[in-house]
Amino acid sequence: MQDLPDQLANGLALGALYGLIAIGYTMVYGIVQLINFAHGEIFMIGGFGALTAYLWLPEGTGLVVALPLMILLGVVCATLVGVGAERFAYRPLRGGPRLSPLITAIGLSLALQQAVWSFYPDAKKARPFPQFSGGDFDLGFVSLSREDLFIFVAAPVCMIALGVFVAKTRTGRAMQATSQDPDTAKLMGINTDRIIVMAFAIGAAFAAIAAIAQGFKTGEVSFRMGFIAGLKAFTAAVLGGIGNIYGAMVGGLVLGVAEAMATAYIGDIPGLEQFGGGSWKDVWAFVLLILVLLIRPQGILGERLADRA
Amino acid sequence: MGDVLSGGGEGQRLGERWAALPRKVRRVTLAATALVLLAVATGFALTTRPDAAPRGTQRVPYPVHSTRITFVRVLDVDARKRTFAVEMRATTADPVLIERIGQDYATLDLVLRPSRPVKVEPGRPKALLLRVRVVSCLGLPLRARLPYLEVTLRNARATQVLSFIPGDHYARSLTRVFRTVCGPSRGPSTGTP
Amino acid sequence: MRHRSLLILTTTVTVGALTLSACGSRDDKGGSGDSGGKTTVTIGLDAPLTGDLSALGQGIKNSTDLAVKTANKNNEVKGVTFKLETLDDQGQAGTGQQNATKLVGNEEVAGVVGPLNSHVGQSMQKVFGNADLVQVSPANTAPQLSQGPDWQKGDKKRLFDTYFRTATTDAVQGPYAAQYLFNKKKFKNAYIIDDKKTYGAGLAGTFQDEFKKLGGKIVGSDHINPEDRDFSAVATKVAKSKADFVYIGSEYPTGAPLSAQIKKAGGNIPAVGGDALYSAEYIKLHKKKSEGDMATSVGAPLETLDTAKTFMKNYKAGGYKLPYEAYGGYAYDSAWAVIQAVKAVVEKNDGKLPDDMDDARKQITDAMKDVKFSGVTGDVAFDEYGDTTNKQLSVYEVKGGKHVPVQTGTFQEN
Repeated sequence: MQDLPDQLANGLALGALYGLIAIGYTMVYGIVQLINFAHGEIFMIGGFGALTAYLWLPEGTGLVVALPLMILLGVVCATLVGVGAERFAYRPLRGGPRLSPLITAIGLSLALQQAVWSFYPDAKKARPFPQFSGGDFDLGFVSLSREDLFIFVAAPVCMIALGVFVAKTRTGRAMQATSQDPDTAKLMGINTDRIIVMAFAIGAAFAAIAAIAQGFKTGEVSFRMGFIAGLKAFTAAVLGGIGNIYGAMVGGLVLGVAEAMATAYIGDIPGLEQFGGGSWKDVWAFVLLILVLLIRPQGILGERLADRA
Repeated sequence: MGDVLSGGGEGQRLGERWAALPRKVRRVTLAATALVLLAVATGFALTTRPDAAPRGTQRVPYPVHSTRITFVRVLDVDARKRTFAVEMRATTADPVLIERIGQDYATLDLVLRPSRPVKVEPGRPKALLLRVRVVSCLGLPLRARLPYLEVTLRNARATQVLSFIPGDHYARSLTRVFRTVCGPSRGPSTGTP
Repeated sequence: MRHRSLLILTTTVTVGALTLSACGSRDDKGGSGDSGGKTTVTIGLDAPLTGDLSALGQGIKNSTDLAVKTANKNNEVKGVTFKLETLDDQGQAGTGQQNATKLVGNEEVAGVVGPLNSHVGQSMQKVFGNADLVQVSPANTAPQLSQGPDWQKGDKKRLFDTYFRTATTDAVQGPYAAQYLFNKKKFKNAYIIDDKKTYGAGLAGTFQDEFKKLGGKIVGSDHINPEDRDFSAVATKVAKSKADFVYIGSEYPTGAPLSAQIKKAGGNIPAVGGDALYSAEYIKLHKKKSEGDMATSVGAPLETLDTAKTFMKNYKAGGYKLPYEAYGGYAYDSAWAVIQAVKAVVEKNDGKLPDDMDDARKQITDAMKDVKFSGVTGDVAFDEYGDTTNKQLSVYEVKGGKHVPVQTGTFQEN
């Protein structure tokens, strides 16, 4: 157990990443009750956007210099695709049967994957993502890699910004209103279409940040990276209480830590040796999900209307 | 070069490697190669039919592709002295010199006897005798499945250090000898069972 | 009204996506007529041409293509023009099986080269076995494909007469790596990770077995999901263990990030694996962090072979965009073996293949047993299990961003 702090850091870094992606699921669901299954691919496109920015810069540009531009282009790409998806794939179906947007989402997800696969240069296999040079930060009890540091800074900053935005700004309050009662909000003069676009855009931007974090963590981006990440993030959103933005982050963190703990320690429990390790972590994560949903069907933080945004 | 040659992870080309060697090494190697060439040429001239012109060195395959060493039997097991001998058989498609045979187990001492290089000619298999002494019964690889020998081979093309893996039969024979020499209980110092 | 048009849109997108995902692998079929009195014989090819392992798969495809073109150019088999039918299995057993069925159904296919993955090979074997269609894999290394499930107990049994391969099996690869690391590198403590696939788990198994028998200690072991890319928790476990190295039974798309993340977590130890880590891609993905890592691969280094040099030259002249990778030479030899088997049958039957394709396939399978030639990777011939008789393998170490051969071994059973 002496590696507990390190494993906790691993879990939190992974969880914060899941949380950032989960925000996108939860916001869209909170406002239009739609599960955007193409969100994983928007995440992936954010990663490729950031990689493109890095490749544009002259060779040898320091990563610290390149990072703002990478974030910018990643966010722009993901947001454009996210907003485009809303406009052309989901809006025409709004008010239709509940299943139609779901099918569109799956189609869109495949189309986006294959588009990157076909048109992004050399993307038929994983493409290397830039890495920070230099060693870990040793804090005595735990050592943090520079890559993990990015997510540990980015996730809280994003969360605080989002919290302030939703609670304090006009648009944020309009979002809350729309999520509580779209029809009344519309009658009150809120442009709900614009609010929905906002939700997609914010979710996509957060996903792009998460994609950069994942690129740093694993050292590569690939056209398939969105699938697993999207699935996990959706799980995190449900775990935390879908529709609740803080729930998404809490759900992500719980899921990430659960995975790390399951990988590291389940195998040490006598009698469970063969159920431990990296290949069983997902099973344990879902066992946890089922347990939580049995006790609290609305998720850890629940779908409190006031917090919904 | 680029794309194609970066594939398969193959290393530098021979020429580049050669150029990268220190001048001294290059000279010595050149001289050695020349000497070997001369020796081989003289050998051919003296011993074989006059029409057997020496073949261009570039055409001779590397030893790894021309030489085979197989296991024949274990003999002379002396449980008290913890020694035994292994007979191997070498065949080759091109004249080759077996310069050294050894292996890296810490607990075994294995040498070629007699200890001078063995020359093997095409079509004339050579028997090789290896003397083995068990240095310590502790940590002896009793049931290893693929023990191998480390062999240094030299022919007109190159000198190579290669592993020869004589296979199942060899592994089982070794295991049997180890058990005789060190006892089935794998006792730390029992010379005799 | 509106709903209907939306439904159409949805369907279009889905269908479009599915079409996209299916395209890009099939060659045009056609022109199979007997122009100039020549018979066209098709050689099937199955490999992962898309997805993570596509680098290796494309190398196999291009090299096979080169063999077919060379045979046509040199008029290797009189009266026969060879054609390639390429199928993509995406590294998935199910797709591989469908491809196998498809190749069997194509009356012109006389032999098949592929696949890359052992688990895909496993799913294809039976289909070919039932149809007497010969298959030569350039890259399957799992021993049970040729020697049956009980090969480790010494009970070797050939399951399918149609299955051949030019690659050396893991029965040799894993133990050889164990011997090398324990004796030569003096590594005593191993951490073993596999991805539970036929290839990865099998290789890690043979390695672990031999390493323990030599007296080495397994300080930890773990299994991972091959689709995962975040291995931080496993990496921390490895880094905190007292292992001298970590053995990875997996393929490079998984192995490369795993190895890099172990080093990132502070585990300053080399990662060692089998032929599926021996790819330029492995180094490309994690340049700095792959230094010192090792991989065993089948065969002697191609640069020590004169036949291989010709192959390299022709490959370059062929203008293929992607490198031939670890299995290029083996794919070329596999295709050449099929061509030689066809040649033997054609020569036996007065200059043409038997009219009945089932009969022709049976005869080609029989002829494969006696095929013998000097190929790119050395002398090519098959033993009674369909395994190559040329059992060589090498250990490579990553030095200066390249796989450099450090030791070559020859397996010579009598």
